[in-house]
Amino acid sequence: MLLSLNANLESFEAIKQDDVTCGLVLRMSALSQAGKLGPFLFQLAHDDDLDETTKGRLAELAHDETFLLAVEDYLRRTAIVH
Amino acid sequence: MPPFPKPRFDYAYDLTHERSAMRSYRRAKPGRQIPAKAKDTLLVATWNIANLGAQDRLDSDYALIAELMSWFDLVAVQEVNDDLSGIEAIHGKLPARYDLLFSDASGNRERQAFLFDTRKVQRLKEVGRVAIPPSQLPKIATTGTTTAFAGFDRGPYLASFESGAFRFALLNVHLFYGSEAPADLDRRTLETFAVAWWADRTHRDRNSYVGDVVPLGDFNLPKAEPGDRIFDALVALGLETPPHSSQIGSAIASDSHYDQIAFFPGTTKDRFTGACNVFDFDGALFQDLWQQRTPAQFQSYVRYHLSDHRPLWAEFRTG
Repeated sequence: MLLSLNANLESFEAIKQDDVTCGLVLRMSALSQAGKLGPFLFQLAHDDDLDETTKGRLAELAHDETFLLAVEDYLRRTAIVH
Repeated sequence: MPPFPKPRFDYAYDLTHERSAMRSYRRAKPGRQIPAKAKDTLLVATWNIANLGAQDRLDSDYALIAELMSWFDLVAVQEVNDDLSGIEAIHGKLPARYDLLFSDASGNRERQAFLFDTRKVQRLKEVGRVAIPPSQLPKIATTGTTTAFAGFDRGPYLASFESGAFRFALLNVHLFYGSEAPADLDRRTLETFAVAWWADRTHRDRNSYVGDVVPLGDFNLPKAEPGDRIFDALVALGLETPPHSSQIGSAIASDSHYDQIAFFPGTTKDRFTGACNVFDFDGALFQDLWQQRTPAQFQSYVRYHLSDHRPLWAEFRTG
């Protein structure tokens, strides 16, 4: 349990440190909560600039609502606007 | 939009009186307050000024428009005619610290422009009109549209800026209107989705000069609510439009919500203070004209001398 929590915190912090990933995850979280991820996932799937591995990871992440909520909560609680 | 006809009646106003009326309205009318400029906030506005440069406005009209613009740090302007006399007249009435940036002319011989207070806002290096490459045009498609996207009638005008620690790019849009015919509605929907598509790609691209894109301007969007095709296209990929603190429409005649400011969750949304509204200057100006003439005549005067659109504004933290 503790290991899992640590792993998640490391993932959260890694996301926080990367502006592009951070923005993407917050966007996916908002779309997920609104039940409107469909068009976004369609765009990802048809993006020629993304490789299949990245597409797969993003799609997997997008479907993990619990993770998206948790990472959004982490980003909000640790946010420093600068 | 073709130029509005000049009103066929005489009316003269006192600039000092009208400017004072507008300032009082901003200060005292419930729901119309605009925050004062402050060191650690940025006031961004968007305003479609009908046929600016193509309608025969008075010097005092430009002074009133400049007065309203001077309340903001950065204003995106639409319907700037190929003839630059209008935007230059406004620029000339603003304090000297305001700078002007404009695009070339496109559909309907219109440019888009930015006026900004250089004490608060610095222009960054990326500026230009956005176009979708022909190879990508087939990707601009939404459920319910049956026509193919052929590109923008007026390409959105991108400019990057910095204010304090806030680095952002504004995408100044005046999307196609046409008519209520299905083909025109399709085109309007597709142009809107193209803005969302381009903003999505830029937001996700590590090579973007500024990833935080804020599309703003005249989307010709009737209602900012789910179920409206244009609105659904705008928010399909995660852009959000902040609710106005009043429900005043930005289009004077129809009270439609044509004009919008949109951003993604994350940096820009975190900097948004929650203050966003439409300023209905027509509720303050020319009150004697309102009493003496019909509403239609009043509107014809307002749209010819000022605009048929009201400015929409939003406030962001820059610290």
